[in-house]
Amino acid sequence: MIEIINVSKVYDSSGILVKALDHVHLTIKDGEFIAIMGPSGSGKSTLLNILGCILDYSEGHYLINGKDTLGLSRKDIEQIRKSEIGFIYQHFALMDYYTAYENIELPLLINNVKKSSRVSKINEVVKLLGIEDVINKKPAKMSGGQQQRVAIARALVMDANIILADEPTGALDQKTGGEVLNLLKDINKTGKTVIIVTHDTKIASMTNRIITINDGKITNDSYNELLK
Amino acid sequence: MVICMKILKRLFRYKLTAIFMIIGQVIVLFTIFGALGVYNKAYNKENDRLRSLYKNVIQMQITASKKTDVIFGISNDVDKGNLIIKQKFSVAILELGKAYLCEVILKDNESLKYPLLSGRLPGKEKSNEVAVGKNKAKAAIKQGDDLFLTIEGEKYKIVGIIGSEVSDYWDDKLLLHMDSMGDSVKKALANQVLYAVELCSDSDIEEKIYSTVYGNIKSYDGDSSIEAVKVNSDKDSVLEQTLAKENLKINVIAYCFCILNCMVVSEFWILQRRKEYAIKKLLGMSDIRLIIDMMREIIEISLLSCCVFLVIYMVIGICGGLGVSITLRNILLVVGAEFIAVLGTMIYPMYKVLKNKESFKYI
Repeated sequence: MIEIINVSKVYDSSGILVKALDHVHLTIKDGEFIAIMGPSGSGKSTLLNILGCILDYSEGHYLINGKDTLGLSRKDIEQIRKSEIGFIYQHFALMDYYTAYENIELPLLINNVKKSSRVSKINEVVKLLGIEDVINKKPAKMSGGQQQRVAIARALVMDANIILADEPTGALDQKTGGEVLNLLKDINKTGKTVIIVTHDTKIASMTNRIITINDGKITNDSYNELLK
Repeated sequence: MVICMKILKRLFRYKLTAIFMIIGQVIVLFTIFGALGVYNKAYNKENDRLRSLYKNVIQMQITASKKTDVIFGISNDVDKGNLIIKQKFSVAILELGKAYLCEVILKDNESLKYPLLSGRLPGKEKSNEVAVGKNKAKAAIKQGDDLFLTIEGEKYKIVGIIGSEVSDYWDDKLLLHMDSMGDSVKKALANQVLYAVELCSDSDIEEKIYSTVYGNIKSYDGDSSIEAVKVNSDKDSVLEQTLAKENLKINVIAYCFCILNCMVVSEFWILQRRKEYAIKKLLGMSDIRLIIDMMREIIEISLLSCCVFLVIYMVIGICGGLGVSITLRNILLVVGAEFIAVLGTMIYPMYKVLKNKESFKYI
């Protein structure tokens, strides 16, 4: 479970203080499929970065499975990122000179997983995402959809419970975007929490819950009753 | 082999910075080895100079009032120490086409401090004999097994090659002995009015010996003037002065410049890799592990530079080499200087990695 309690984030932009998040309260239960929406500069990416323990917050508390991240050391934060959270980005965030296999292997190497175990885990996600034919290719030789599948495979390989996706279909055509979204839906069905940042209402409508942010504040938090 | 190829592939994923880094490192190695070569050369030369010194020396500047044969009687009854003419006397060598300074042994009661690469020192036979350094020997004419030089129009047999394996201190020496000298050289010597003579010994030079020499000079030429200086153990090193004449400073400046160059290239290095580091950090890699990763890569590139350097060094070695011997001291110096270069290269990337907050925006 994720709990955001009264969290604020203030940026110092050349001496000018900009409030990106303003006393946000949010509770996300395990296994939810959520879309965070809002216009550019509304604070949705800031919220996602705080959820991913990438960004420090200025005020409030952020709890993952009851553990407050506020007092955690850098090492503990790294550990959360390593094992609890999987990241998916609009532009895939793949290592350009690594093959698909090496990209997927990276989190396992960082977690010091043994080779035999690495191979079986990679084979499992590769099969799940249907990317067997691109496994030895580098990102430059893959299509956008294939790259995003590799990125999803990398996010899943450590069996993280929370998947954070920042505009995951933003760089893809409609058809491929739809496929990626279906994949995320399938992942959610396995019990993982999937949080998507998007400004596309069509994508948001496919999730169970839509959180709308404006000027750093949650202005709407509604459940999609049809999909619930 | 596969591992090597893998490493090379990884190192050259950003070709331009890798090449610049390697060039920088190779120049660093050349400057270190160049400096070491200069230092070694000066150090060995200095050691050879120190080994040639006697414990006690009386240096005499003799100015004869007229051209006399004062120099031939100077060593009468001198039964301790060696008497040698140094500086201010030159002889013409036909094969080299000009006159060269030479040293003349007037009397040798003690062992002489001329190291020999081969043969012996002159003075044993009554015939014309000479001992020379390597450079002079190159000009000698070979007749049968013997080498000859024409000094002051007379043929002299080279009976010994003076020199050292480690420096060129002795390479231009020309050494004659009063007992094995031809008439022409003796005549040239007699025509001098200015002599620089040293009375030298490794034991104490008694007043009596100097008095004998003084008396000998005065008995031949009563109006001559003698300026004598006693020098006790001139074993103080003048290495710094010797080094100052060499190109050591240029090497040090080049070394510093190369470290700066590596530091600048490392900025491009990090610029190209910032996305990689950001992704690794995002996936939970710790700063320490990132720095170790970076260090490994920079050390790998340094080792590759060493290989490139060694290949170039071997090629240069065929053409004369850099004059550096492989000793523990030299190895430690190279490792130390290379370590400083690697450390200098790493400062900026390390700073960037540790600056946590900014790194994620490069994903």
